[in-house]
Amino acid sequence: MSRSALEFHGVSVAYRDELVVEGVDASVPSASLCAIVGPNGAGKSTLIKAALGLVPLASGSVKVLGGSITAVRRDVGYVPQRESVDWEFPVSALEVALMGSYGRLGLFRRPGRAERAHAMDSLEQVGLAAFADRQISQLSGGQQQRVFLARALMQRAQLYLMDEPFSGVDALTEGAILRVLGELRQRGCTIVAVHHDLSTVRERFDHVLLLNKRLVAAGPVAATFTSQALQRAYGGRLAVMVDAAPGNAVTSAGH
Amino acid sequence: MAELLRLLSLQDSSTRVVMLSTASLAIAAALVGSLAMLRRRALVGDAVAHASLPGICLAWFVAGDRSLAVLLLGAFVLGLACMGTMALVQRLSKAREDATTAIAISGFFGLGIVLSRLIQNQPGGNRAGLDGFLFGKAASAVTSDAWLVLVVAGVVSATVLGLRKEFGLLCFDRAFAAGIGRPVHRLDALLLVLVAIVTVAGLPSVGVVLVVAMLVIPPAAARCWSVSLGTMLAVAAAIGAASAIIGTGLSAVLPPPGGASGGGWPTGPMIVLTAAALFVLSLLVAPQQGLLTAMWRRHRLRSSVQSSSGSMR
Repeated sequence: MSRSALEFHGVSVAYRDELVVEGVDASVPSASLCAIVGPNGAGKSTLIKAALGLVPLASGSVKVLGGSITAVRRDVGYVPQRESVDWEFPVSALEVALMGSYGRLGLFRRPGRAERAHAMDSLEQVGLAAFADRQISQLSGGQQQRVFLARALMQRAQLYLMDEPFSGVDALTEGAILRVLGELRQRGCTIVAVHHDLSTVRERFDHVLLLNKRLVAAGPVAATFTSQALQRAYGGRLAVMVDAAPGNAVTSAGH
Repeated sequence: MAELLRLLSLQDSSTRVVMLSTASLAIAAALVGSLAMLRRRALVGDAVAHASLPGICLAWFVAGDRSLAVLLLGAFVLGLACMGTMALVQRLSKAREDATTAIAISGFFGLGIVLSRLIQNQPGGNRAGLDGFLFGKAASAVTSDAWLVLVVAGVVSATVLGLRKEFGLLCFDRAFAAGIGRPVHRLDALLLVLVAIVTVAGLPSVGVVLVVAMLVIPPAAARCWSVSLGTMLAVAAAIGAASAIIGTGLSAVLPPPGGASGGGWPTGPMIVLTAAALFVLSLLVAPQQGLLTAMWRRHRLRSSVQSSSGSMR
């Protein structure tokens, strides 16, 4: 299991005529919990979308689970940013979780009894079994984030790509998400998550990609997540610096 | 009164077919419109409708054939051209979507008015035919045309229902749909084509100006009643069908405004007014979000709080 779950080879992505990701070379080892960290506009979400094949590459290539994304789609789970969807949409928590089964069902087959049972399990895992029939607008922000996580669990993937799974969640949700991520990694899954909170990178992740359009640093958190690297990633805009020694990681990122 | 009874009991076979076709079209429009609304494309139908006027005129000039199918084909082609124009303008300019829609609607409709003037001055071109397209005249539709609309509505409805899981996902979370490998561009395009088809098929009964109402009002009303996509589609379809049947019936039964010799009431406005009435009703009394329902609930809460605080004293 020492092979890479995700490899970027000279990846550049452009929106219109502006490069938002430039020549990124990096790899994420299997069964790791990897954070993508960097300032706003650093191309963190774009890098995840590039891995999923959702944005065209201006140059370079991505290897997902050792192959092309189109060949391994079913083994890749995705948690988009919570703000990217309309939470007033007429759909229940259970139905959102069920969407995680669509990838395996194909265009015309509907989810059946087995899928429903599995969706209930997934909601149970994130502590939302009691909310299955709630319309999603009646869930709190943290609960909505957990519904997205339940949907990803339904995908039964080997690699999970998550866009800010911890953004704006309460302590309860934070605990639930951390527990689920831990269990996934125990099973040998790889998790790559865009993460904003610098102060929690050390305790939650074991691998990190520091990004600011270009790759600033990549590797195990202990060796990579240093004040020098952060300073380079944030271009001197950090108000308080992270000390390289663990336990002293108190930061705030200025914009 | 006897007339009304005859109409509603659908004894007359041609009335039966016309009513059935208008209702089935309303159902198709409600289904497609629900998805378009959830995908935030509610106004695309209006653009297509307005672009259909020059389409009808061009078909009249080019084909020389005045059959409904040919005229509607012209409307459909220009409807697609209009959507293409909107996408192009959007890409080239920095204008926002509402602005590009307005540009397309007015531009194509202006072209249509100019072309229709040319037709009126041609031998054989008469105002009455075009007026029918502007405001709808289902009650006097020909049976063969009604069958055409019935088939089109059936195909559209079947497509929406068959793919409703995919369309639902597309509308709710396009990024996730793309992430699991769904052809989101093609699904988006299919949805727009379906919008164009029902819009054009609705022209004879509801007319250019009001046909967008069939795509928007029943889904908007249904949203008041629904917490799931399935319910929303079902309620929208029911409201659409009810509006079509009641509206068509009213336009046939009410005494004509200009006396027996003048033209009857156009069906389009009758259908749309009925739908609007059902929308207002939904807004007021729907179980979750209804205004009156909410007032009643607040009243009950307040009186229960008052009585319990009173008993504590």
